[in-house]
Amino acid sequence: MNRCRLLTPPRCLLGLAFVLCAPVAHAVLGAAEVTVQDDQARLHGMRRQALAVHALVTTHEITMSDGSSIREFVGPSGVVFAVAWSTRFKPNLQALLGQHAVSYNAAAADALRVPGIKRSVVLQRGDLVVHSAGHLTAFVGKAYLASQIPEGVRVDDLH
Amino acid sequence: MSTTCIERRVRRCVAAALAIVLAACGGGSTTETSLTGPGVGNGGSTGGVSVSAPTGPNTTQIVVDSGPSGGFSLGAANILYVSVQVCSPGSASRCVTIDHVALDTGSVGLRLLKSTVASLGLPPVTVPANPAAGTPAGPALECYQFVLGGLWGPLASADLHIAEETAASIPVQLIDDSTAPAYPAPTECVTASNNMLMASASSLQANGILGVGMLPYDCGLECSNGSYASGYTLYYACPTAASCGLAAVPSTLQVANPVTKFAVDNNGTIIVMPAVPDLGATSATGRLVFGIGTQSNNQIPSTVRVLHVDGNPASLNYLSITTTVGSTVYPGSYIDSGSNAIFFDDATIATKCQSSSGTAGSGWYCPPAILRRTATLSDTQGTSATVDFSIANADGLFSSPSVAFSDLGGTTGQAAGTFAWGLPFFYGRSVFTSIWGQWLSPFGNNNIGPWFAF
Repeated sequence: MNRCRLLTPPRCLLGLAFVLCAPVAHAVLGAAEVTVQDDQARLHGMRRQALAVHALVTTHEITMSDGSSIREFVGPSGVVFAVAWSTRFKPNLQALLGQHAVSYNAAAADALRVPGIKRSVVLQRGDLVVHSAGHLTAFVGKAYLASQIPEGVRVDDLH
Repeated sequence: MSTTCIERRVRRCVAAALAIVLAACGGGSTTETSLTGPGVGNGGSTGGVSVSAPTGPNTTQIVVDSGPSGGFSLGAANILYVSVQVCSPGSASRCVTIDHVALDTGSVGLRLLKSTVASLGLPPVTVPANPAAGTPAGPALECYQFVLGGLWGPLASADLHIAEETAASIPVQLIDDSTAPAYPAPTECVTASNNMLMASASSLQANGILGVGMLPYDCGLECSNGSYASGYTLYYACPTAASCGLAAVPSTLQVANPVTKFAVDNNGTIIVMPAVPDLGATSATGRLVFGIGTQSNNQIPSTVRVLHVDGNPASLNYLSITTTVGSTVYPGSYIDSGSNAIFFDDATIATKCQSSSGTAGSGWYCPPAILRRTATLSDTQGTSATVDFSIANADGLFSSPSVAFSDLGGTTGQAAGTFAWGLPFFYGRSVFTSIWGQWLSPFGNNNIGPWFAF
């Protein structure tokens, strides 16, 4: 705890969160802001803080050498409440959605009961909403936790 | 209205259209697209219109119908089919003709259910070892991904004959539909495919997919390097059934756009379809034309608008154009014969469909009365085109015997920003799709990117 005293309170909390969350691999949506770095490592990407979509929102953008990018949106509570992607390959939503992948998988299984090629889908299960589209080598989409969107932030702003 | 009456109206319509065509073309090399169905010629709705379509050795018939034998499901509609002949490389006799292959401008490459070509003994594609990428030498297999679901199976070399065009010894994917695949799908591929490897005519609603989209290969540089960091691995090398590793695959061995391998008409396609009436049609027959500006029958009329897609891979809207409806802008828009409806977000349109409940995750639109809207499609070069479209009640459409619908729409969810102009867009139009990197007429600029034109 000595090191904690040396840090400013928010950084102390971040450090604590990292310790608590470190064993959880790639948990992102619904998890603490520090888990963004897990995705950065997984994706071999460059990370930067992108232009804010809203005063209450911190946007981390991970860009990859093939032009792909993933954005993770963090609200005042320090939780990643939304992610958005534009990728050359189908993104690993199991990793990006963390514990909410269970809801995604259940909704996907439902949608897949209709046969044929799926290129534009919206999946909703509990608090999770996923928009996903893709053609050729262009996959785009976003996922968010409806109840976690900070007041005043519009879904339209998250892209 | 009696059937004979409808038939008479259809015949009159076709005859009238034919007369116009013959007058315009001097009886030259065109044919008629056509429609069948109880809604066709119905005076109470916007009628279907046959259009003239080119004929000749670079063209072949395409059709929207109830699909391959083996069952048709609710929600499966608007799938455009073509027949292909596939041969062992270099052989004129070891060949099979495969019907009901989905014609798809939203993907690249020929993918066939493995059982359809089992008699040909097609040679497998083998990738060389690439130690830098961690690729072992071995047979190449692919885990091709859709937004939901995926395809698993080996690459093989085959000759494709379609119209009078030939793509010789091209890599194709064989979708493994055997009960005990020689190379079981890796766990990562099953997960990537949402636990749904589509490996049957009933799950695909087709015997295969002919991808004639805007790119020359289904992957490109990233797969040549074996760098799949941004998502799921596409290509694997499998020295043994139990040891598949991610593969760096040279572009010459990747699943290729067959059109680019034709001798001449290799820079794109034109899809010509009749207009379909509001109530739909039980079949719609059109023409697939190979080449753009390469023959007298595939020139671009001066009235056509050429819209370049965003060619910057780092752009959020890569390979897209922009669609605007009223004050709503959809920057991620594309024209795709493999999408079976118009997919976009409009919160004012009702989605309370019976046919959506439980099964159709994408949610069809079900307005109480047909909606007519106007959209503007535009590109970054300042070109734009106006398009009228309609959205009808999906429950009503699906309760009819029809399978071709010009007005089937589905939601993408609030503020999704994407607008997929699926097969409904193609009805009543000639839609040009260029292929990036191929020689193009003065209409296109490779430095900007490939383009749609209509």
